[in-house]
Amino acid sequence: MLRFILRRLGASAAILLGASLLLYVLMVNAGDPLKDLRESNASNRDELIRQRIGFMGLDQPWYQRYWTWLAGVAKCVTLNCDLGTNRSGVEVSSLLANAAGSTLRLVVLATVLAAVLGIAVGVLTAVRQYSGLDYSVTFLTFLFFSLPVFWAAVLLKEYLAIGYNDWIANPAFTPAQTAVSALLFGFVMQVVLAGSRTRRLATFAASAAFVALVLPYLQWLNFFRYPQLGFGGVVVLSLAVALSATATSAGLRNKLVLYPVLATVLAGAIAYWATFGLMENPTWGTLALLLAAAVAVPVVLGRVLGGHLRGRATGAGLATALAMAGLTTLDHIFRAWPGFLSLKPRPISTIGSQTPNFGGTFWESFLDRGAQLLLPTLLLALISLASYSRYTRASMLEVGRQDYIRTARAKGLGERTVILKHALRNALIPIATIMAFDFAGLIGGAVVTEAVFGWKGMGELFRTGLDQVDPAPVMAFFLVTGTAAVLFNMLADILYAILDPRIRV
Amino acid sequence: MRLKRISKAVALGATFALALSACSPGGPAAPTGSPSAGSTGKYSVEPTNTGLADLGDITTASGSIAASIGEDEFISYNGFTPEANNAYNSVVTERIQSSFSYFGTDGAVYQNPAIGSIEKVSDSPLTIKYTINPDAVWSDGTPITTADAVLAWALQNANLTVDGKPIFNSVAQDLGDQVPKGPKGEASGKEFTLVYAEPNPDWEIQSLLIHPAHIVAEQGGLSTAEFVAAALAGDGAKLEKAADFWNTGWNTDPGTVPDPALALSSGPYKIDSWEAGQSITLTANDKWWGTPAATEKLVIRFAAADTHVQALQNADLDVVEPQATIDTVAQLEGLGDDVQILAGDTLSWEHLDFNFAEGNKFGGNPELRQAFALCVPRQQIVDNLIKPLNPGAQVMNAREVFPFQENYGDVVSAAYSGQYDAVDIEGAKRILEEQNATGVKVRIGYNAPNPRRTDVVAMIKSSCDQAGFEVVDVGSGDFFSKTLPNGDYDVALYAWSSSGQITSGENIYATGKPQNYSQYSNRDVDAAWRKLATSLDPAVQLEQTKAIEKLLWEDLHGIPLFAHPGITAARADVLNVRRTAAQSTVLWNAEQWLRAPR
Amino acid sequence: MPAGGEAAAAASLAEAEDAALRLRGDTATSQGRLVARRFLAHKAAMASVAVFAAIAVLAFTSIGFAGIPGWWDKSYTLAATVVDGGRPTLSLVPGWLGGEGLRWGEHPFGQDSTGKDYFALVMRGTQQSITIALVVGTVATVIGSVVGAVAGYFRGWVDSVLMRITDLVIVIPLLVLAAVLGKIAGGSGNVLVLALVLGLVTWTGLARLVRGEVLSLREREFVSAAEAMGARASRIIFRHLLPNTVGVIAVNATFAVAGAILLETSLSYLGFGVRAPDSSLGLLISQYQSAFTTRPWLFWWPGMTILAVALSVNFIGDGLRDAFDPRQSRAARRKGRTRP
Repeated sequence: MLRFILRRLGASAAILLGASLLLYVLMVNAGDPLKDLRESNASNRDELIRQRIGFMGLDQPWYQRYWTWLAGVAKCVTLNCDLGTNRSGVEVSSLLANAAGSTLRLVVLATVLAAVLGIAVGVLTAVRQYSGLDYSVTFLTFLFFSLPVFWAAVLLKEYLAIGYNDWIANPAFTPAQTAVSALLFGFVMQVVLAGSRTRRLATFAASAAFVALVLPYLQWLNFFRYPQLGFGGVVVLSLAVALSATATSAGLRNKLVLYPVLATVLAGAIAYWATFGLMENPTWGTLALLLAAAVAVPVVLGRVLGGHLRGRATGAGLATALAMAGLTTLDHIFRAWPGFLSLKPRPISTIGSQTPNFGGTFWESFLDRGAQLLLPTLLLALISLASYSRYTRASMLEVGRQDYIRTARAKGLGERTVILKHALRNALIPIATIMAFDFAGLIGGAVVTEAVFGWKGMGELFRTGLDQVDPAPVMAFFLVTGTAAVLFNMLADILYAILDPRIRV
Repeated sequence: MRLKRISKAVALGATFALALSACSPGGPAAPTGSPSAGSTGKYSVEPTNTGLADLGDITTASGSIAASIGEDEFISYNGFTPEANNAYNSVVTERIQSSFSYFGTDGAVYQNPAIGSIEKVSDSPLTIKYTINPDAVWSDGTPITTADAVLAWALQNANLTVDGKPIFNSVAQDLGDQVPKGPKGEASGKEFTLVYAEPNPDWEIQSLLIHPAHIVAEQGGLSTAEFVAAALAGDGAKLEKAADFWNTGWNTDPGTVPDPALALSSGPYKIDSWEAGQSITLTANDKWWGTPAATEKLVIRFAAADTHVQALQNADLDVVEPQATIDTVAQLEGLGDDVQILAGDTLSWEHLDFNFAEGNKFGGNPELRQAFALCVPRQQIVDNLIKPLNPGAQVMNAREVFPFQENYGDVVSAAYSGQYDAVDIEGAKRILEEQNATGVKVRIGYNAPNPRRTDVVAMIKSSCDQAGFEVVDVGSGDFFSKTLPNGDYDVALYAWSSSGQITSGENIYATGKPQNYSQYSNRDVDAAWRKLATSLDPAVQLEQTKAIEKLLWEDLHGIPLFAHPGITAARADVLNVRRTAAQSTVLWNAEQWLRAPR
Repeated sequence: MPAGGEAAAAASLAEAEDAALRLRGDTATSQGRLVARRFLAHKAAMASVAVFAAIAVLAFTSIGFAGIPGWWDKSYTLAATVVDGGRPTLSLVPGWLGGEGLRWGEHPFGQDSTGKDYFALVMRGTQQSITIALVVGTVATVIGSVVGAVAGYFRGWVDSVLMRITDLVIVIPLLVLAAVLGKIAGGSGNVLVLALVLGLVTWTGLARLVRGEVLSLREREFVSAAEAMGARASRIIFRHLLPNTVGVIAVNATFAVAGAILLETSLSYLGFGVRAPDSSLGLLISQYQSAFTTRPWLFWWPGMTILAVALSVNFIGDGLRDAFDPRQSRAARRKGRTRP
């Protein structure tokens, strides 16, 4: 395996080199980099042209320029990258450093969101093949897939951002809105949960009634401007998680599991108050430390109190502790929301990846960036949702008729075990490949998304670079996306080898 | 506003425009009655002319106003190098570096009393006296003096060299030749004079205050006095270190605010913070001695033009300059009372130029040019494409003056008799038949993609094909690099934009000049330009402008179409936002913007 | 290692077997007919075929194609006076419902800023988009499946070389490569050139998928059997392996066609795709994206057409996959499912 990985690494480097040469040659031939100056009638035009020729090295043949670029990139080994200058003499490496952060944040989030949602939807539609759910979800994913990104972005801004901002100023639901939401939610829930006609009716009635009651209640609480969870909410929800985790792993009567899990909830309750001050304005460092503690405590408790069931006790405790940590964090975010709203009365801006001069607490700036990230991430994720869900569906159906699945069913295994443990695991093999190039593809998609949301990320770097026939920024863009693509492809290959033993490497 | 960028070299655009400017130097001109100067804006003090309004005795209000003119990033405090010299950088540097003069909303030149005064004391040789405001100081408290003018002169002086190469990497290189002796006056004083070697009609817009000389001198290891002496003595070697600092010392990576101890402000604002790719924030300069900035913070966001309307609607931006399209205007109108829309003209104008290269069917045949001019539907083009954006738009009948400028009517009535106002298909057809040229191909070239030009060509085709031409759209991405220089066109469709100089049109219409792409040649036109460029008398300049226009119409050098429309919009509660046709963008009076009290 | 004579004998054995199968196929139901029958029974797919065909016929007959004039008398290049702000004259609401009656009118889809007939423009755009999509889909599918199958079957150095070439293309993000090529090819003004170029960069995903499938398939018994019978490599690839990956290919080809339409849209938005004065649906949308609140017809017509084409193509692919893959079809599923 090690040899395989090393060989792939070497091949990857060669591929990057070849692709960079290919792209460079294409870029050099993509047009006339001096076009705008030829159009100019500035009296110092010749001087400007001379200057640009100097910055871009246009007086040298293209292979020499490529070689200079390559030599600069080679310096990256000593962490001293020289990516050249753009046509007006600005260092590309400093441009890239600024651009890469926001783009990677966007793309990673969108990929994860799309993969998780897409695989879930794919499994669901495969299990319910040719049901109403299958058709409507298929239709919806195709619809998202078929949307032109930039146009959808304008719509999102119009209805989600501006609409939400108008609404949050004085959040209220009209009775008609409540009724429609309730009916819609009830309808969706019965489609998702399915079952016999009576069961569907019951699901519909229960969910619709739930929404119809909860929305006015939340509005009465002014929840949308002053959301609250509180200590009580955290503990009650955590207890629910604790009990269900115990029930599924060993059964509620099993004290070897129940006690360490309950002890975890107790520890979490103490931690809630102990860290309260700290959590009001933490740093990423403190958050990481607290998360480590949230992992350590249930592990220790499970090992000490779990006896011969310490494995299950640790697992259930871990689930409980993570849920509790999440809820506590959510509680603090809720507490920060009113302050955030007073700092930024219109929470979702239509441009930029953060608000200029935003001086708030940790959670307030977290919310600011989150609000800015929301629309582009949602858009990118929705668009790539289709490929994940379709491939998962196809793959699940394919796997579903293999002999070993039939065998598993014949053994009398529960449907859930068959689908999740046997079918999904194998169906995920092709998905690994999809994810690998979808990631790189999404960086490409980010080119358009960034343009519409006014982000100055790598997409912008590429777009202006190509427009101005300026190879340096385009090559810098490629360096990041290409490396990411190569790495992810390699991971996919390795995963292939691990997941499917039939493939000899 | 304060036009530091306005030396000849900086000129992005072509021509003239300001034949009129010399007519009203400094003094309050009459308010332009032109509807297209476009202003339905809201003011705290109503402006009386196209220059800055006098806000009187005000104090800086807290709060911030966010504006955007496009997505391009701020580059450097030193916007006078070719690398950083563009409109996006200027919107920042012009707020923090004042000049002796600035352009009003119609392109007229105004003096900036906060900095001082300019006065012509002699015509021959041309001698200009500058007086600096006694209160004027840099943001570190150092007075602004003649030494700063010496720096401004030195860095535009290509004769200061080491090994034959100019030491300053500046966009302007010719002031050393124009004013060989440099600013005359006590280096630490507040008065100096310039003596020009040749008459220069554009003397009023020279940049003589740019950067702090004491900082450049200090970074170059010299005292200010030594620096001034070395510069006036032409000692390039001694200044080399200082010049090196000037060339690169103020440049920082995107997002890093240049050291406030070095990047001094002489304007109402100074740089406060800078988030790469997002925005740059300016804050009121506490050392500013003039009328204080009306609002404490000014946020300039780098947002693409097509995001502007929604951002304005969502109050992410307060002042925007989106692309002028029919839909932008309609969208803005849809926002109702939340916004103020300021439509108007810009100092760019669209035109059709014939190809006068040897052997071209149009260049050698005035009748054919006339037939084509008769069938171009100029009014329809303006009505369909421009009026929806700028209701005051009109067909342009001159090249050297714009319809919204004072002398336009005068120049047009002297040069053009309305013969091509209405489309005359029959007339064009008759000429083509006489010339035995029915069915002649007309290749119209332009820089593609450009939807508006595509539309213009389509409309010309619809009309002229009826007269017997065969119009062919040869718009391409190679227009400026191949089509135009190779002469592979019959009619070229493009725009010139004016930089505010009086003399730059010579480069376009005189024989053999670099921007004379159509290879037009007429000795009378050449002579008229020489006369204009060497005269300091506004009356002579106007006379020559009329003569040139008349000759160009008679020869049908080309057909002017319209001034490009522009759109500015602002939130309804921001006062004093004013559109300008000049290149200084809507931010030209940003220090006067003020949020209306609720 | 069989001797030459034996191999030849084995090959002829395989062919004889095939011939026998073919013979039997004539009397019973052939694989192709089965597929066709299943496809015809797929309602969503058949509806999509109808929609797609209707759009294509409308687009190609209305304004004519390749010099042949169509039945619509207005041109997509000719400017005219803008009537009534360019609003569409099409009305589908009958008078008794408060509408203006069923009317086609002078400019059913309205006019653009210069008064060009928007119906003609949209039809021209649809022609271009369909042409681009089909060419891209075909080129990408052919290259992708052949490269993938050959690499997966031969493995070894053939696989290495082919997959490294694939990687070379895959490593440059699709939109980036397409944009650069589009900028180069776009100047030529020929949509077919643009389509071919796009096809040359969009086959990589399929190649990898097919290779993955083939790597699995070639370990199956029927391949060993074919090999044992002495079938040639090309025969195994084209007759045994590729037909078995048809599900993957069909799904991918539909995505490729739909994706090509959207790729062209993005490219045109960025300014690297089809350029004025020619027209494509993507170009129309990007030209009028800011018009959606003010002159909505300028967006909705091309937008809905793109959506209709992309959706119908996707559903056709869905139907195809089901047809090729009977075990996943509705009937089989129903029979196989036993409800408690």
